[in-house]
Amino acid sequence: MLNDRDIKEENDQLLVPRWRMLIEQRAKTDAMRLGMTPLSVEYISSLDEIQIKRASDCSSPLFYLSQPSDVIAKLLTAGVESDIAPFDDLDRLVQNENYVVLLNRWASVKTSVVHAQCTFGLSAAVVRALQGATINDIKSASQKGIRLVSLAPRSKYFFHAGRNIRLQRSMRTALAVCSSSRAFF
Amino acid sequence: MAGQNKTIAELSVWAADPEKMYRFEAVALLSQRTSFVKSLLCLTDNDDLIRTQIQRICKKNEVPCKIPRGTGFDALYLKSLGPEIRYAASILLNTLLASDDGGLATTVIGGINHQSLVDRMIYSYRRYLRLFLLPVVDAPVSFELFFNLYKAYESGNIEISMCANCESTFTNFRVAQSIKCPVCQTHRHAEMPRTHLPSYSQGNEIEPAVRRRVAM
Repeated sequence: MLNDRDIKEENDQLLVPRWRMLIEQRAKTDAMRLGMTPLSVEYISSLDEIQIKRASDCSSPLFYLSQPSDVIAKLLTAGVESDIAPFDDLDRLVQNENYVVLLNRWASVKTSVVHAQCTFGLSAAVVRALQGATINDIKSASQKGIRLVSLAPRSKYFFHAGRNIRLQRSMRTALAVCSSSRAFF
Repeated sequence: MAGQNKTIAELSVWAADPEKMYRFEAVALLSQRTSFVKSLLCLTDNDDLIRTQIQRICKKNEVPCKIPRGTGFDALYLKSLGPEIRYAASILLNTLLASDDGGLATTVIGGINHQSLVDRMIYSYRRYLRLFLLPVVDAPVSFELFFNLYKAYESGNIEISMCANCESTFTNFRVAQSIKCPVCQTHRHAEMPRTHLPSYSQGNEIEPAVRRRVAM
């Protein structure tokens, strides 16, 4: 089972490069390639480094596998023949995000299915696919030129979690859980 | 003597299934109400046997055992539940059901796999306790109340609202609607006007970059 520190590390590892690309204007015009809405681009790029680190400091994952379950299952069994080399920085970022997120979910599924379902929001089909996958399958699935990952919380999470210094980590986690776009409602 | 032998025999049947025993132990540490444990785990054993087993588990884990008596666990008065409970309920229900298929495997006939649901409830509740560093006895929402809130959600007595200020989805009760978001109330979020980004005053001023954008 991944503990809270692993989740925090994943958030930090993925959110900060995205933010850096946005503020350096490298991805602002191509934000749709990262699956971001104009509003989330606006809120994230308005934060400074301390604030973005504060927003990523929570025990709930800020990224989720956004592709349908059967797509992920097919990618995991597709083999290395269909791998695509990255075209630019943004592609490299997407591949890295795919790899980190898939690897962490894979590790989680190997130890506790309930944890993987409740914390990472994996469906039963994805759990089954990840249980049968090897590390090479994970590596290969992340290099198919498809973005598998999206931001889990809605855009205003970043505004409140980043700027409100009164929020403790537990509160930021609660906010991330409640404002998750993959919630049941 | 014959009665004692009967109890031991029944206990050994119980202990034969490690998965069932693990689930029983987890529930017994979260709630010691015999009728609740029986109802949640669909047990048909007699009350004395369940009570003895709960007491043993509590003793083993060095948890004070207080078997509750009186009002049944399924009494739920939605009007009496304040923002603190709604806040906790939002976190718990969001954790329990936040996946594509609710994480619930279905049985052959298409119904919900009950054991999967119980496992997820136990996990969600433990995660909630760990998040706020709460002991079971001090939690504003007990495990029994969590179960009742889930049943209320299933039966449509709990409605779902989204806050325009923080975009959280929170639980609202059909019989006692509140327009205030419990997450905003608890976290004291700054209110966001629709026209521009607001500031967190007292040391949290709007950054120059944002101020420029707002001015434009």
